Amino acid sequence: MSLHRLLPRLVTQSADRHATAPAVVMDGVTLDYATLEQRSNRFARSLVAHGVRRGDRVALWLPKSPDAIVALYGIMKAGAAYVPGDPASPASRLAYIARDCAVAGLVTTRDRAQALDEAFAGRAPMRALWFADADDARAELPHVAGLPGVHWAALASEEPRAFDSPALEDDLAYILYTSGSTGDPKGVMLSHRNCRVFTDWAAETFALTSQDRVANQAPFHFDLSTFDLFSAAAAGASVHPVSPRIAAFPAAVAMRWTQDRLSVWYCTPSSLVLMLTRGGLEKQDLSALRVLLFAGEVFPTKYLRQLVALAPHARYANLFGPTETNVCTWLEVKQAPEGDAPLSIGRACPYDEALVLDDALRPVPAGGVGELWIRGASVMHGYWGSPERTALALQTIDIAPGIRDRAYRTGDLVRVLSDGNLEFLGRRDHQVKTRGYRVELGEIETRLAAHPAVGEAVVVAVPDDEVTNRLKAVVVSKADVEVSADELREHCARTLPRYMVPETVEFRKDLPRTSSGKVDRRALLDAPKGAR
Amino acid sequence: MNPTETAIRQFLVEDVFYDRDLGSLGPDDSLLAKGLLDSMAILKTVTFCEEQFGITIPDQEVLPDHFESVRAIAKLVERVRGK
Repeated sequence: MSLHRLLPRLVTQSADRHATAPAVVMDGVTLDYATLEQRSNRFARSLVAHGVRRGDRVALWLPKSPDAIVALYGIMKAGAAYVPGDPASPASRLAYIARDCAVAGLVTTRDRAQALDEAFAGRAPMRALWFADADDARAELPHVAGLPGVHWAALASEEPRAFDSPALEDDLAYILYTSGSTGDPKGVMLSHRNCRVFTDWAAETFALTSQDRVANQAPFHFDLSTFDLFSAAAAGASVHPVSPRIAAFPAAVAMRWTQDRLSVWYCTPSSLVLMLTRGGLEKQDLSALRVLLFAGEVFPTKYLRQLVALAPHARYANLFGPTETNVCTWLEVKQAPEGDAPLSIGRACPYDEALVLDDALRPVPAGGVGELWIRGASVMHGYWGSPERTALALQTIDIAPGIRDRAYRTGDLVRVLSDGNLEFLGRRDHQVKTRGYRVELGEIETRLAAHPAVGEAVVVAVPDDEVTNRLKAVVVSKADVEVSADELREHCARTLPRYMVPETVEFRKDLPRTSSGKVDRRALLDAPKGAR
Repeated sequence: MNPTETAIRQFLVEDVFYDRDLGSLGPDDSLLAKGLLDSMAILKTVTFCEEQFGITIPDQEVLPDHFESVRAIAKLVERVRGK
């Protein structure tokens, strides 16, 4: 067996130590570690039999399920990187991603075949296709772009014994596509090593054991899920993916997690706030909650105080980092914060170094404001197929006098506090968060501008207590072309994920400008005249 | 479809799914099986029903079973309105 420190090795090790311990628990189905190990070995062999090789990419486009987890481990064992698509996004976006990184395979479900077939329009990059819901080997399967598809049931004929992975630590483990400011999503390339420095550290720091039950709310295309999956696997704990049926209902999630006595929760502040404000969390028994981690957005302190009051026995930590570095700084919250001052993002995790630099790339002294740069083991390999974007984001700079290294430029403005912690102040660009999702306003603007009736379009983020931001489009339509807000939203929804579709569309005759002639985005936040 | 169902269906198609191709959406078609509703969609739908029908939907009623289909949401509205 390979001794390399790959992500799937965590499952192999836990299967050796805790074969019958639950690995995945979801909707009444439990996979123990031995079963997860064997099924992912079988799938790795099926991938290899269909031509998937070390260094390839394999897309996942299916709802959360235990089989989706089998699939992502199988893909990594085969030496390929998994590329998780947002199951709620249109097929056209998945087709873009699949072509962009030229996937060798695709795992999906039968009900998505027709939409995929249309989106690929006869030209698909993959050589093979698996239907994870095809449990009956005799059932007839739909074709996608001429490919026949493989039954999940066919995995039973593959060998379950240990699979010797050809991958090494610096091979890509997964590619996460994130919103791109120029109009197309970009693929963030992360290796086994990039991920494991975080997930191993987190499993140790938060003292996860095989007794822990770890919640999984984040979708697999969202990097919070790497903690849920891989820190749990490192400890031999069970991961409990939230059922797609209840995921959008805060009251149902709060009830399920407390009834299932989940001990470790890692969520976005938005989802925790909704559980507090709309989910009746205060009526639930939180005695099993041991560790509560949050990331992805600023947590409004008044809600964090409420949460700490409900479960004062739990450990709390604010984890921080863009997809490009996963978690790079963290703050343990030892007591409920007082007042409205935002929580700091703490300091660098031990595998990374946080540099706060001015525009001349000189370190900023305590009290000063600068841009956050991150160097270290969790920093991504780059953006797939985009050396230009990679060169802008990853630069070799002086990290100390006479010492140079490659560092990731986050675009985040931070202040260095007197105690050495960092305070997040905002973005240098037009990237925003909504419900924990990272959105480039430029990507939505590009899509709007592609509509024949649109002259100019600007999208702004309107701050919101519960969901961080709501998106509003301000549109100047072309003279004598009629277009409705509904039509523009539909136009966006055909290629963008739903969370990127502006909730309101406001029409104006012209856009307010600053004295330098730029669009005055601040002025657009107010006065929604004639919006709907 | 009764008027409550019609109003909810129209709202979902035009203001939540942004997809008039869903014109064929039937009152009993599952909204959840297809993953059509995310958390923002639920919030918007609750707000719409409260404003449209002059009711307050208690948080503990906002559960998957009550949002399974257009008909299920209409039943919830009628039940809350009848209280």
